[in-house]
Amino acid sequence: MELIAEIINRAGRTLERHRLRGDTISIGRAYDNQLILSDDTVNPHHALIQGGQDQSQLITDLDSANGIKNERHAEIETPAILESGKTYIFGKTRVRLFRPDHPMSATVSLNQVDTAINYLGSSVISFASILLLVSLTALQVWANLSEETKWDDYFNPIFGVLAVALIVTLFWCLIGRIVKHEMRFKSQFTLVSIYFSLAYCELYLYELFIYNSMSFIITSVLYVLISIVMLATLFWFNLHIATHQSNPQRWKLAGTLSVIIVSVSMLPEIIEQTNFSTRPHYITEIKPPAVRLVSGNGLDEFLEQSSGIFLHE
Amino acid sequence: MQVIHKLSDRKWILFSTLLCLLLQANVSLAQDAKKLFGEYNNRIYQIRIIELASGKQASIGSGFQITEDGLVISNFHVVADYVHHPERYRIVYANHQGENGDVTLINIDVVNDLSLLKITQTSTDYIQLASSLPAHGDPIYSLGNPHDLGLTVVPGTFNGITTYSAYEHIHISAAINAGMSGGPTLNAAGEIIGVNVASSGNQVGFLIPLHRLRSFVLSSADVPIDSAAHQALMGQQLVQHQQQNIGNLLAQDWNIRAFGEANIPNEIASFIRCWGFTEDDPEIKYTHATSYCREEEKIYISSQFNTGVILYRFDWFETSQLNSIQFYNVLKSKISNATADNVANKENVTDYKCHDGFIKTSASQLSPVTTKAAYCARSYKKYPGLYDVLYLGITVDQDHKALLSYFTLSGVSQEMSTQFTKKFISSISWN
Repeated sequence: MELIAEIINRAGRTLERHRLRGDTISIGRAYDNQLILSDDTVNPHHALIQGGQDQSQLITDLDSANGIKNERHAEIETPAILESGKTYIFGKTRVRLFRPDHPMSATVSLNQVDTAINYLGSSVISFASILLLVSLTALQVWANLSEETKWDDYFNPIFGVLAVALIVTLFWCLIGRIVKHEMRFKSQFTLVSIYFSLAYCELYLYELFIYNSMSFIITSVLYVLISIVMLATLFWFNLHIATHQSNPQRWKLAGTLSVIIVSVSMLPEIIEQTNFSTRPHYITEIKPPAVRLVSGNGLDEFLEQSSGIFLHE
Repeated sequence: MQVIHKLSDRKWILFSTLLCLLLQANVSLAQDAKKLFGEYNNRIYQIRIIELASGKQASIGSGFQITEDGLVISNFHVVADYVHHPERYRIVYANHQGENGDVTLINIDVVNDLSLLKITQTSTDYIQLASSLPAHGDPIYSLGNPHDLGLTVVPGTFNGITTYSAYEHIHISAAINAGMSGGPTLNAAGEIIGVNVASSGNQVGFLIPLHRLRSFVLSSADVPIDSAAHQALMGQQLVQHQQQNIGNLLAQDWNIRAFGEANIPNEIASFIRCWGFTEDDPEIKYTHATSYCREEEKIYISSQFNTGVILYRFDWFETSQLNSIQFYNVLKSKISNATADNVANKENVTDYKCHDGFIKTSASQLSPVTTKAAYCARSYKKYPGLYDVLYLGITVDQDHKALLSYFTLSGVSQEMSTQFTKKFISSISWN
């Protein structure tokens, strides 16, 4: 008789795996067992597995203090026929038992996402993405300069954005370390840097769009939707690297997280909009002539279109 | 002190003579003041607004009797609490002997800050209106009850009607203090030349002029106004006022001056004063000049609400050191804080509604000028048909130059606002 025993944790993750051979297989805390469990709640000789009829195995409780339980913590009446792939709980220890001929699931081929993520983890790509983020931050600072340049004008924003990217990355590394026993720091940092760079671009496009459309509501709704999609995509990748979730689970979690984060970040503005204010909310966006795509109306037309501002309930 | 030591003997004599003359003048002023005090202390009242819930006074002011049958003039702002909430307050008077009595509100004029009251039990003595204003420099006497300290006479000098007032206020050199509001200012003959209304610091006081007081009294009926109709009456007065005031501005040609590369309205009425300044920071890489014009006086409606404001402002920006991206980011920071110039709260006005867009105006010879414009309005909750409006426009077709134009009006109708906006934007031209 040959069996494979996996000692697993509560989450179902395998901690140890043993191949057991013999006419009978004994399980317990004592050193003369085939499967030795270091658990005070397991009897020295807790259970015995014997060959039964038709290639089957029987598991018998040796009158142990805490008995043998199934996955749902229900006591098993023994002797019972052993089922391959089932989990048995001895005291506090969970053991999953397999026959050697237990069917295996189909081999998963390395997919494009994994390939892409490995590619993101390469030093060249990581460095390039960080360089992109630093350049865009510097560009942002440069565009807002109206006085003599001082070095700390650049340093503070650049280190600020790198620090935030690092904190976010470390969070996902920690999750990865806990769930998958691997951090994948470079992949995660590249992802976060690319996301931040894209967020800069998104903001610029938003400003450009709001300036040319002169419509706050349409542009803002669009901006919020795109922000949620972008953030969800980032989280999907982060989760892909750091956890074992299935694809639908991952999308659900990434989507929920991004909706929560975007909503919370919008909350102060929504509260401000709904409260009474003596300040008018008009569009304050302006851009250089080169990126103005609309030409404007005559004065009379503008005033005609403005008549709605005098309608208050 | 050093100056005095250096004075020669002859100058000393001159100086002492002047001093003597001055002292004599003071003595005669003091005698007049004493006479007035003795004669008029039974014709001046303290007006108190009593809160019904606590039974305590919420505010105080002064008032004076102008007829035998007990009609008393005071300021609107003295009785404003009662006007807005007749159910929460009542008005009482106190005479010079400390006797109290009830006061009935007969009429109000929110624009000129006047109220006509009737007191129950009274003497038949009253103060007469002067037939004309005194001459510049004539002595005058302001009476009232400053800071609840009892009847006070403050001598001063008449300085004429100020140019910088849409309400034709009289400027006097006398210390009008809180609590003297609503008291009379008299000429040497003891006749009323105006009603104390405001002070702007040391020895600078303002009066509501005689003719406005007279027409207010003449237009008032003998019966008290219905307390439910207070707001409607005020609304009517405010609508009428803006119709006239903004109407006058629209009717006349505006004084235009060159500013940057543009021509802009300067002082468009005598009561509007303009100021200019430049952003003065050696570090900045652009030039920024401002022309700022406003009417200094406001119409008091309540402690949380005033109106009647006209303010407009132009800013010229130019740079040779910044590129257009940087320059437009500077401009962006300059246009984001436009707001009204009057005080208002949720009880009185709605939120602003704005319209944003581009306006293309044709410059005389050059290519058309494009302006990014925002035009906003909020409506008065208690005075339908009146709005606070503001307009903010900035030219967006040059890489290194821009003109920002801004105005705000308060307490105007849609019609007046639209016409003003049209005239304002059209009055800007380009060199």
